[in-house]
Amino acid sequence: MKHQIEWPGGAACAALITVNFNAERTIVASNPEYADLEKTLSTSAYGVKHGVDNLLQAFEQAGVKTSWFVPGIVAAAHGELIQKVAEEHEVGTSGWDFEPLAGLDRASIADRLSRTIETFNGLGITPRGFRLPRGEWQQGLVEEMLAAGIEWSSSWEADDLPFLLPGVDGTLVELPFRWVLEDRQAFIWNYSPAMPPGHSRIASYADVLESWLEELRGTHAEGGLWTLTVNPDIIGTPGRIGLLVKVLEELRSLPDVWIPTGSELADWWRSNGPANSQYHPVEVFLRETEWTSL
Amino acid sequence: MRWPDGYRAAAVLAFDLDGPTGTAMVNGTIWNSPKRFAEGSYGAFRSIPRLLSLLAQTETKATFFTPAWVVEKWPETCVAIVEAGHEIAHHGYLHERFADLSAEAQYDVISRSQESFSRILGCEATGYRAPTGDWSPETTTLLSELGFNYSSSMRDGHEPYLHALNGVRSELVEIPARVDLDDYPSGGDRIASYRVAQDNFIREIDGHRAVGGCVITTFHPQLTATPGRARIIAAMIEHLQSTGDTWITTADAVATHAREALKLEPVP
Repeated sequence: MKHQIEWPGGAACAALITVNFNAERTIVASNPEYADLEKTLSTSAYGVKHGVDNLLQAFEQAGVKTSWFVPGIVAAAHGELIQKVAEEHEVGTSGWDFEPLAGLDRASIADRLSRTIETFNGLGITPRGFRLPRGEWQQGLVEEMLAAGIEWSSSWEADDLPFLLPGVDGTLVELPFRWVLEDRQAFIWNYSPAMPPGHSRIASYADVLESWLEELRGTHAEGGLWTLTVNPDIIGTPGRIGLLVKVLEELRSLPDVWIPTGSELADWWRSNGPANSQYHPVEVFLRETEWTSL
Repeated sequence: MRWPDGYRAAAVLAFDLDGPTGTAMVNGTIWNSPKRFAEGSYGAFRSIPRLLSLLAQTETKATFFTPAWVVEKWPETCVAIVEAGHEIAHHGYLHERFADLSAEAQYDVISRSQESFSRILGCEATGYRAPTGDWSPETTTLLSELGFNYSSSMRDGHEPYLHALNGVRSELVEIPARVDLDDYPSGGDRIASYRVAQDNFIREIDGHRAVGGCVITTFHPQLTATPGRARIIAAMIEHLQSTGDTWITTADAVATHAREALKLEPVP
């Protein structure tokens, strides 16, 4: 099977490398009672102290530009580190405090987004990309994001190509991710409180690498979009950074892979990509519900 | 079991094409969950064209247990499955759990689904796989009365058998499915390793060949027909074809053969 997409420069496929940098908010935002568990939070602090630098070095060696998602509260706490990232990479956001937006009223969503954007603006950064940290998509989010200056999202696991999220007056470009292509799913572990719940063991590094490369090979053959997601506290460690280095080497060794930032890809898709098929999951959803927009 | 044409074993590539149906659609919560809806729909929207392409390349026929709601919402995709010579079989209207339904409600689900199949696909299902596992004590009688060729719902064997109704051997064939050939549990903790899942599945194929059984998968397109995981299915087809001793066919063909073969055997 081949996707009928003519990628820029005759590329065979596109690859998007994303970084979720949430510091300790991944843990604390959903569990405020863990705020004083210093050892547990130190697993995330590893990313701030070492992981971000290790990632930047790996990306520089491979010569790739990547797209980061940072909550506003983390940007406020680690401004210089975020500015250092933004020197070479695209910095987008995932809301104020890694909070689910579904269930909040429109005024609270607008307030959180504007506080987030102001924080980044104070660092000289204008976020254009957004990743919904947790929870479902709520009707009206497209409008709120557009109002905050967001132009694209990477929040859905619904496709092998970018697609459009229709709002009332305009669209976001969605750059879909895949759970299997995120390091956290495979490697997060904490004894108490138990992470993941049920304490399933840390996955085989070699097997995870092979699964990532199998998705890349399949995507390269079909001409789709391969979206990798890494976390500085998870893959930025001495034993795991090699997995990222290996993936980047494979990516560079394949002929004709386009490796844009999120904004480059979203801009290109908006001008050159096809409209959503009538059978696209979001179009079927909108037909079957009372929702008229996302 | 004795297989036709000197084959040692049989193999059915069977997919549960659930799309976004299931418990969340039966209870309505899916309608506030567009991301979840889209994750399931990926199977009908993106995975089926990929699978049809792979099956055509390898000249392999497969069986798709498909809730009728999916047929109604992705009609062109499902017509393409039938036109390529594959089998589409019954899997509920919205993937209802039959154990939760009265006999009348089960009848309604099946007849409503058969009406959709006839109207959109031009044929009715001859096979049945219980959605979400369990059925109720009345289901075998109902399937038998409605003239179903077979069910593939139980887990108690590695080759077809005939269901007993009121203590008497019936015409309804069961092609028992296996948890070891289901894509949800295989492959280790966390998100399954592709390499480990593929190795398990190949070992199951060889085990079924050794006992002359019937390999039958329970694969979900939205889960296992992604760009990378479809390569596991391709490797399984390649392995099956390379054995030369395994009859690779649809569940319907296995059931039709098995009924005649089993009737010649003494009642157990």
